[in-house]
Amino acid sequence: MAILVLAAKYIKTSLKSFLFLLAMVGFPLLMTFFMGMAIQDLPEPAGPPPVSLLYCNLDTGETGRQLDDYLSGAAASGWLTVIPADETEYRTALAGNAFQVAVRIPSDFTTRFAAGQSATIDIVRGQVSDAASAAIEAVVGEFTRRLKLTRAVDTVPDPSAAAVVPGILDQAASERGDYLTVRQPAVGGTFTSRSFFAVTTMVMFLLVAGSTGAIRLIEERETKTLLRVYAAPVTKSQVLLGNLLGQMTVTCCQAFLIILATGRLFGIVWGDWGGIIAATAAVSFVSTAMAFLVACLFNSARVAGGAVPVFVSAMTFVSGGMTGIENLSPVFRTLSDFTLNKWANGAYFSLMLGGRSSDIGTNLAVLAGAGLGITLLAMILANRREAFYE
Amino acid sequence: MSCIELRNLVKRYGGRLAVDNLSLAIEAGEIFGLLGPNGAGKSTTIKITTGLLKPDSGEVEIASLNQRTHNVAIKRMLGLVPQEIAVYSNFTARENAEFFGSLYGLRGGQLREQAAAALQFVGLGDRQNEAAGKFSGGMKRRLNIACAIVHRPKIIIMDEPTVGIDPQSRAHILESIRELAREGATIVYTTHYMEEAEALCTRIGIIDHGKLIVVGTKPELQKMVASLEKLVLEVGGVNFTAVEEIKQLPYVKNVSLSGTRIEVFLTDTQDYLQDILSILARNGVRIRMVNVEAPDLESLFLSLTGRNLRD
Repeated sequence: MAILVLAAKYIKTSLKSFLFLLAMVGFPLLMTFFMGMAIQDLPEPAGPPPVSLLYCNLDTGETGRQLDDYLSGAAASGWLTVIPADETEYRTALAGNAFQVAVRIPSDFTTRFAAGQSATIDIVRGQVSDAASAAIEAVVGEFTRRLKLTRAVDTVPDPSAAAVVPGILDQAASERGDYLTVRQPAVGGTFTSRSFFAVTTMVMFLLVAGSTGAIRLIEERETKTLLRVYAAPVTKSQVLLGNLLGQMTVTCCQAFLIILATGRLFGIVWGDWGGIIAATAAVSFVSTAMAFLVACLFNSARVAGGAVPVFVSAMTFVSGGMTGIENLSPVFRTLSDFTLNKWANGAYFSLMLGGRSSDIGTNLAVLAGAGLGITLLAMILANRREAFYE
Repeated sequence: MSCIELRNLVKRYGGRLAVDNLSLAIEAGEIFGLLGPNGAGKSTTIKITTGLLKPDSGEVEIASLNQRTHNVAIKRMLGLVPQEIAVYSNFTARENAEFFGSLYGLRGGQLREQAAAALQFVGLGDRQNEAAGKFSGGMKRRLNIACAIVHRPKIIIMDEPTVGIDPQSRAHILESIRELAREGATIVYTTHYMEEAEALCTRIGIIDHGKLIVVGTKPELQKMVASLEKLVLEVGGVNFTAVEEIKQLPYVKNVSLSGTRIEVFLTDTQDYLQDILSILARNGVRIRMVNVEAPDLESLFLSLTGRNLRD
């Protein structure tokens, strides 16, 4: 109960602070608005530029033919430029790193698949943007999903039992391991330049919110209200969890305001709401963890308030959030994997491209893992302080 | 049985000894004054007593409960008025009182009623819906107290609650504290204002450099003062060799310097004036004025520590 009392107090003090509201809501909305207005006159592609797919299909069976048809059909139209290759060309391109995304279907794929044995499609990702990568994974993922369903329905004698197919597949996958590479099971969302900047700007502000949270905690230390709270019959973890919960709630509200505003003003479609909630919760968690860490590292609210935005801006740049990752040098592309923005942006991009919450599992896991790691580090630092309230 | 018992408390900050083997027992219903200059160890002692700091060694028992094992239960019995005005400035007085009350488990009607009563008690009943940030210093201090008593604690610990306020607000606060004591609360009151301690407290402990130098009721302390004499000398220029020589005299308790004013605290003796004047003359110190004053409790502190309370 004390946790909820503290979280409610945190939210209430936030809502009563003009500067806090300005930093958390006013600036992000203004920035998003100006960004949207500025980008309005730029040509808007229907989505990311088509990705070159190096396509090596060695399977002459039914499944191989189905994949040929699928890639030349409507589902993949506009997303891919398919470059057919035989085995030698495929290997040479891979060795020379001369590809964006490469797909290889082995010659025994149909045979193995029909026999219910493990069959794998190789997908190799080259240097492509997150959005393009999400697109290719979505296209191939959709194909493999269709294959799995076809196979599953074929093996169920009673057609009415087809309804239980997803459950059977899940069970089979958990028992024997998945027999197909499935990473993105849906495709079909819209993605524009404004969508790109809406995502990267929002993620940047959500992470910057960490500095606002840190400032709040440090100010509570400075005004000794935190000392007074610690003097009450509450444990240290209750105080910390209460503040974390309050900050997370505020950050989530900030995200949903931006999502709703950009949707309303600029028609940006953010995609599956389940996924949006999951991604926003994960980003808010990691942002809040950063707030906690910063509050442990700094004693001055002013210093914390200056340091975090600089750090987050640097992360935004390195992650390609300002330029697009395809415009970064190879070194920065590698570095981008170590930024929180990259995984957060990637999650929202996937959702905008039609993915669901299950499709952003890796992104969520990375963000949640980073959040837990940061929280753990912050707790160690907090415990090393003689008194966290001072 | 003591309401608060501190046994052999030691607390170090790095190499600095903040509390030095401090032991103290406070009875229920007392207004106990902990008196000492800034940096004497008062606030550290208070933080240890309220469970905000862990001592390096020693024990704290409140209402027969050991703090190491019953920290949360003990905190429930305590009300802390911090030295700083620890309230949320963008909350109203009522919101502040209700928030801190809710941390002690108060809910609903009981919370609202007790918060209103606490604000009424400190004279903020008619200002309860105003933002704390708009209050004067004295009103904020009173709100600081209201937030500590909203859950009606048995023990109230006040860490210099009257710092930097006008005499009218101070008088109001002191009267409120007496009223709390009349209602049965045990009060620990730290201050570096001797006159406050004299006016308010039933017993006083003098602390310096983390050590509790003396504890006693006001009459007991006055008796100690009565055995002292205070010689005040106004000199042309201070000669430190002379001061050191005066300090070596067997009946001199302490010597304090302030500009060209020398205050010498002595135990009752007949011949001190001649000895001291001889030392000053031998060292070529020109004496402008000599006066023997009746020492007060502040003099007792000075005689014991060699420091002024407001140092």
